[in-house]
Amino acid sequence: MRIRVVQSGGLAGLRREHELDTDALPEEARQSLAKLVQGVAFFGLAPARVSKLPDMIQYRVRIEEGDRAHEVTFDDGISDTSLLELVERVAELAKARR
Amino acid sequence: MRRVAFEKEPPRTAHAIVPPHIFAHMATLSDAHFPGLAERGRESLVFCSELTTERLSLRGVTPLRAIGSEGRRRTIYDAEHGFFLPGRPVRNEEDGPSADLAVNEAFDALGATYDYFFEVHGRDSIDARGLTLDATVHYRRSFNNAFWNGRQMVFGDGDGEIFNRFTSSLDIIGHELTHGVTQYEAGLDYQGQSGALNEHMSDVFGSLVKQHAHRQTTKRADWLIGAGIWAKGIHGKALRSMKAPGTAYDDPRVGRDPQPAHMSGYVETDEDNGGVHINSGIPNHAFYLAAVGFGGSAWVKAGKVWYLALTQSLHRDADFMVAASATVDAAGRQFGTKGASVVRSAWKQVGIEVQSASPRKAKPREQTTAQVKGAAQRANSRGPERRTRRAS
Repeated sequence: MRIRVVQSGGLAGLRREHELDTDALPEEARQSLAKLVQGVAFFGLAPARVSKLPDMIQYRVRIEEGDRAHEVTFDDGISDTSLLELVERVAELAKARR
Repeated sequence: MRRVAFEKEPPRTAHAIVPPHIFAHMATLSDAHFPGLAERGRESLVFCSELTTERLSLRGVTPLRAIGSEGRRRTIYDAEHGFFLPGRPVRNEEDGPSADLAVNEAFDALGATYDYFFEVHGRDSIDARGLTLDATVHYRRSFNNAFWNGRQMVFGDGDGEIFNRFTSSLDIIGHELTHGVTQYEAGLDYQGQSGALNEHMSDVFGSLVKQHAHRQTTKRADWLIGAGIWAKGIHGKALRSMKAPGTAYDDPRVGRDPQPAHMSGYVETDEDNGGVHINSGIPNHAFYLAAVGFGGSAWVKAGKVWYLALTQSLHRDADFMVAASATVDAAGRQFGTKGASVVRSAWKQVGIEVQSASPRKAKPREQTTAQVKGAAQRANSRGPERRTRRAS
């Protein structure tokens, strides 16, 4: 599974990208990510959930798995915090691999 | 008018009768059975504030006042690194300093921001009705951001690699609170040019809060937003510079400050709600030039002009041209043709030309306010320095 997160906005207006190939991760990290992706039912999510509240960081997340791919845009203002946990985890793992 | 996400548009009175604190509570909910509730709560809060703004703008009608507005009322909460807001209350107005630096920084900066708006513009808190200022610190883990969520401020600790803690910067706290003021006043839609103006207003008053707290003149002020917020080792002096947009930072880990200082550098993008944190550099620089043009303390003339535009003229869909016209118009009303000329010249230098009104015409004001709905009428009905706090 490939996961790409592009961040934009936030108070600082910074643009940052994180990309992960979960096959290259240790078993435990791979499983925890797969669980998060499954938990939010990522491939069934609406493509955009943006609050338009000021200074929220926006996340554009694209996940490819086998022959399917899906992209979702949301921000810090969403009520479903498991999506925020997912982007935090991806950023942590991507940073650890640099 | 903002459309709230109900299946059928309800009559407006149905919204007006629901107290905003209900929506405020909804906005905090995270129940998995009601996934859209928090978002709808926040939307409705914004809608309520727009109704309030409309009521305020009605000529000859004295707005109802909340009872018990007695100056600064602050509450700081601790999210304890979690997602849930507001979190555990840790300091309010009666409490002494906390052992937690972030709590005290947030508390003091909320006070400085309240004082700025009250002392300079006669405004009692972000809603002009003595609303309690709420802020949450230690939101999430190593969270690299601060924001206004429609009812309170939220601060991350920073990850220590890119950012220091966000409470360390007075102008950032002023910036976040001003998002609240904008929500209750012009309600600038957070997208494209109106969104960049929303950001611009937060930078203007964030900077003015700092300049006022340190009693700095336009020459002494640094005109930076978020000075000292970058972690050690990042090559940059701040997040943004109003004096020289595009020069605040340049580092391989975070890129280069992308802000233009002139319309010729306007950035079209889908990200960041249409580049709201990027294109705000253009009006930011115009404000800096106007402040320098007036001289002295920036909040006395330029700040007053921008405050009048924000609270009396601008609407949610205003663009840069409308903002330029509104500020030239406000400067003319407050400081005569010389004042209007300072502001007009500032906008011209960033590539936005406001046609000058001929003084011989019978209604010169109409010529610069053609795109600014009812600005003149509202100015007449509210008065520029209306004190909104009750005499205690």
